[in-house]
Amino acid sequence: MSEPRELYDAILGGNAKKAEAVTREALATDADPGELISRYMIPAMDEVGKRFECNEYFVPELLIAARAMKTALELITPQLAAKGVKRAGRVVIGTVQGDLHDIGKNLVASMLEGGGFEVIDLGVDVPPEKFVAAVQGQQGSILALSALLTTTMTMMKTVIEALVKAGVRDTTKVMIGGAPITQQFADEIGADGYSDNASTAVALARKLVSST
Amino acid sequence: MKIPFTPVIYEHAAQFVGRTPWEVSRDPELMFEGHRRAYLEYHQQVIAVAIDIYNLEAEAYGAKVAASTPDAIPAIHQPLLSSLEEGIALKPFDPQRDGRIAMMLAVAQRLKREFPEADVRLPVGGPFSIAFNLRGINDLCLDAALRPEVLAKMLMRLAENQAVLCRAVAQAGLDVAFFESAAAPPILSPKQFHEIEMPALRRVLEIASECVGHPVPCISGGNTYPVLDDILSTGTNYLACNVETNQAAFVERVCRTHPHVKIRVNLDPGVVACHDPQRIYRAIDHVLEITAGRTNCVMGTGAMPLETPPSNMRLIREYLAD
Repeated sequence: MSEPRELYDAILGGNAKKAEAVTREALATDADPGELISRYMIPAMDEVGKRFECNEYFVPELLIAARAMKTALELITPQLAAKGVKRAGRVVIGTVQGDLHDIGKNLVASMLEGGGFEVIDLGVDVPPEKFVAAVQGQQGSILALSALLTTTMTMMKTVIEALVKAGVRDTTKVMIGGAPITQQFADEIGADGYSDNASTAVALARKLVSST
Repeated sequence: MKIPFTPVIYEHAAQFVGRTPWEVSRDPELMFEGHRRAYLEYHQQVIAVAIDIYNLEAEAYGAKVAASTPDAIPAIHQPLLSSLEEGIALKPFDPQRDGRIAMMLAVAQRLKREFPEADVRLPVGGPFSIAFNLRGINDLCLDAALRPEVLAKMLMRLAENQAVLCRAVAQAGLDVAFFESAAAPPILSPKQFHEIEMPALRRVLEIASECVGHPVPCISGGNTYPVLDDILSTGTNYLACNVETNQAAFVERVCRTHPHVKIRVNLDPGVVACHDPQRIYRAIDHVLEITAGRTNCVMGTGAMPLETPPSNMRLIREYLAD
């Protein structure tokens, strides 16, 4: 018989099969799904992030941990929904128009899913109006914009302007990232946050959710 | 000049013919003219003939390259390989038939005829950079964590397959501009780099060196200081020192242990392209401080953004000449 505590270890070690087995057992014995998330899963992903920050974990470890987390979440989500428990937040993510690069965007999306967020991935080369449509009617959404190129990063400002024009800027938090992006650029275009890696992106998303 | 300066020109060449990177990457006349004019302007140490260097081998293997908007840099969006086993079974492409390799070789030869004094090279990708496009970053990183031995095998296959390209480059009377941009931390850990990447990296550099008759530069992206000993162990004679790494420690280590190895200490391409001279000067001063007059160091850039004003290069040169 597994202990729920093993879920923490399974996620930290990126063991998706173990995470699935422990979660199944826990749910079968009427464990509280909300508690599984708050006591074991989120702390595990927090620890993954810390290890990444101090160069103990690298991108492969981030991804297998996020995958293990996602596996467990898929089992837990229906029960959470039945009990009316909400996800950590809703994030619409995409690479801005004119940019086909998805490396950073995919890493951030995986980590956010692993962090308990509902992630709507619009893909690459996303026009501003598509970002706007994805957050309209979804108060409190986070919009995560990615760009790899200096030529396309300016499109982030266009997206923010489109949010303003559509009247949804005040109800949407905007976070940005990508190789050429800096905090200074984020401040200049009026984004709510900037992250330079997938790990800190999750912490930033949590911070933005708590500030809404 | 306080230190030799050499920019890295790929997509930036498109600016010199006023066409998009996509157009220039597919048209031999535009590619020739773009690189010709760029060289006349910059006289950089190496003419590396390409626009989208990361796509060449993957496209030759059959991956589809696309550009969404006119000024976008062409990229591969759909991974070609659904498993590592497919990668292990990959046969070498034919440089004379597949993708744009033959076109690139012809343009490079033409540039060599135009500028006999120039060091004209064709980009040759490292195994991880090729695998990155063939498998996609997420799958490749999962492979590194879950099936490292099989991934190492696939990388070795890709390394061996590069022999046809290196031979074609040598037979065309050209040289190799080798790059391996994605394998260093934070993508792979130093341990993963050593165990998964190094055997294939060492092999492909051996192959390239044999083909051209001398050691070839090893231009690696990312935070390379933690894997510097591994990279130096390949016998390369030229390294790039990126802004993503501890440049001071990198230069100090190479100069102490391998003083014959040349180092291109890069400025941040974002700074090189900016419109703030003071910011550029600060970046130059930083590199000058790190290199401290060492004769095996040159100042460079990462791949210069398309929109970089050529006047910034003049500004850098003038500042270095003062």
